[in-house]
Amino acid sequence: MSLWERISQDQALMNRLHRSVAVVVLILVLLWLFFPIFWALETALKTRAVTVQSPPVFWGFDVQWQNFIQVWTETALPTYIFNGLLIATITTILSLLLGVPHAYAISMYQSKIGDSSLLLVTVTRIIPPITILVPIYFIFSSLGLINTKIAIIIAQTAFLEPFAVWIVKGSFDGKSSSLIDSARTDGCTKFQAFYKIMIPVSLPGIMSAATITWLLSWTTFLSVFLLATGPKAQTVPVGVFALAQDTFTPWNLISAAAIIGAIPSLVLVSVFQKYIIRGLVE
Amino acid sequence: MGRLELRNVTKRFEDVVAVNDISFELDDGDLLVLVGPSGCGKSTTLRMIAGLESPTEGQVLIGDEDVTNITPKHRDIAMVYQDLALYPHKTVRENIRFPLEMRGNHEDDWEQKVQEIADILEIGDMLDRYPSELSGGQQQRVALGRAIIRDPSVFLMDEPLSSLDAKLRTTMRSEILQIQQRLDETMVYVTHDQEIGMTLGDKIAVMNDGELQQLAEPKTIYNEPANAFVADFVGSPDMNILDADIQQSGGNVNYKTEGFTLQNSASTDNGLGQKVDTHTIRLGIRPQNIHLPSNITWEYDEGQTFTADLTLIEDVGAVSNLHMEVNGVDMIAQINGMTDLEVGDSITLVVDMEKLHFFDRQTGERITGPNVALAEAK
Repeated sequence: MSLWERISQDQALMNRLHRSVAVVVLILVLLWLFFPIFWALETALKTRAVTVQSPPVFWGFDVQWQNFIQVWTETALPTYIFNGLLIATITTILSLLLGVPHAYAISMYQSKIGDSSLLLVTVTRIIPPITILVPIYFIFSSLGLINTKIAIIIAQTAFLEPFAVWIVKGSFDGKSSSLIDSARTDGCTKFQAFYKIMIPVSLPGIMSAATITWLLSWTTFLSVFLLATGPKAQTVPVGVFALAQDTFTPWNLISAAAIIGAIPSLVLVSVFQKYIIRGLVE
Repeated sequence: MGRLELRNVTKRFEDVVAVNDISFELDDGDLLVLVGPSGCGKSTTLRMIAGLESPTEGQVLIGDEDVTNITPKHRDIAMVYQDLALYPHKTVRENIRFPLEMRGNHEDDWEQKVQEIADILEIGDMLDRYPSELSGGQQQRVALGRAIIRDPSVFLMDEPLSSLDAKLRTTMRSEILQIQQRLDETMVYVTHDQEIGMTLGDKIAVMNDGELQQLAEPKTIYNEPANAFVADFVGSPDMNILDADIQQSGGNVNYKTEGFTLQNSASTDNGLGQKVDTHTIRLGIRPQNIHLPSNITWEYDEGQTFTADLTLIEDVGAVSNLHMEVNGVDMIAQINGMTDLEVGDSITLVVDMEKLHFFDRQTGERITGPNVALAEAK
């Protein structure tokens, strides 16, 4: 018997081996994921001269904490953050106001319209937004809504509502239909059964949809890039990107802006992380 | 007040006829058990009584009021579901009082009523717990309490015991019966378990393929099943149902089946020979009406016996089910107590000729039943 055959027959040894391999792979993946963030943090603390040095410098440079203050006071970053918060929050609220009843209708009632609606929802999720770039621009342009937060909110809601429907529907599907029947034989109208029983019982799924929708809105680049031409309506991803348009690219300031701009989403993720995981799993 | 009537109720889902022209009446305080195999339409019928489905044709009347198109909210009914459907985000107390909340009663009454009902159901000290913290039996009681508090004209139960283990099921079964008798409310109880039907109801309605096969008292259903389906469905183990030819020889009537032939002597005539038009029938013999010679006190002759090989013995404690084979035909007999017989033994069995059932070969309808009067004279 070869060495490997002998090893593979020992269950305990194999388990240890599997675990070790898993740990190594995990570490490599984490390094891969976190390196850009680590690098951004480092870059944010350098002077511009240091950032363009080749080969790259990893330590032993003068730490420039004032980069953060500079980018906050001398660029439109505060505005970008404010816009992002407003747009993401309103988009999420609208997506849920429309999406939750929408998901309920599809989930609870077997009908041809329900099936068509579900198809539309799925298709909207699959279509790459970039394919309908031009028509969307023209629509909002002819309405005179370019560079307004309203336009971005409407466009994002159109894209994210189906997403919310998808998640919430999954949550509703998992609930027994006898809950609604029971509410009705206990004296509820169909609508009362919906908001008194179904919504509270599906709250985790709804929170999932809310959290993910918010994050998607916060981080979305394309719709904002398309419809916002100035700081009035720009959000963090686009605003920070815009800083790189100068001939003189301040990588250190851009990195600082990106770090600051990530804070709201970091806060949200840490508070609601169990909902995010649940929503992605469903 | 608690009268329930269904008139020619039919329910179609696109091409499928789930319930076909069902009619029956229940008086105030009756307990009807609606039994049938899965997919027979019994749950759909119950849902139409509740108002969760609308009949395609026909009418539903509760207490003389036509409620056919009225929503469940406005019908005087309460329903307990197979999976209990307790509201997981509400406490036991909130679950039980929910129907009162929806009715908009005064808040003062609530606390007292909830406590009263909870005490009767022996969950009085669990009111502040959540359903997930209770056992199956306790959850069952909460579901019952929630229905009772509505004080309805008709109680509807959709297989409420099927999620419980066997022992609990027996206990809860008698508790439900006690509650129904105590409250004296009309109840419709749906189940696929014919045993529950036989023990629980004043009346049983047997359904199959959307149609009402028979509605009668348990005794009648058991002794005089209206057709081969009811005969086979009710009673455990299943009735032995065989194709048989009827032959007359001399003063005797022979029932010739594939496996054996039985003969009616003059003293045990069920009068079948004169009544039936066709000479091919389906013969039904309940396992309980096949006996070992040693267990019989009456006289019989060879024409009432057959010989078979034992293929399986099920000792269930109080009774034993003997599975056997005779000339390629499988039969089951049930005897009291346990037995020393072994698989492979060849045994002779006696058939109680007065307890035979006869069904039409084509339609399955009952032709005539056992001669009960003569049996009582024994």
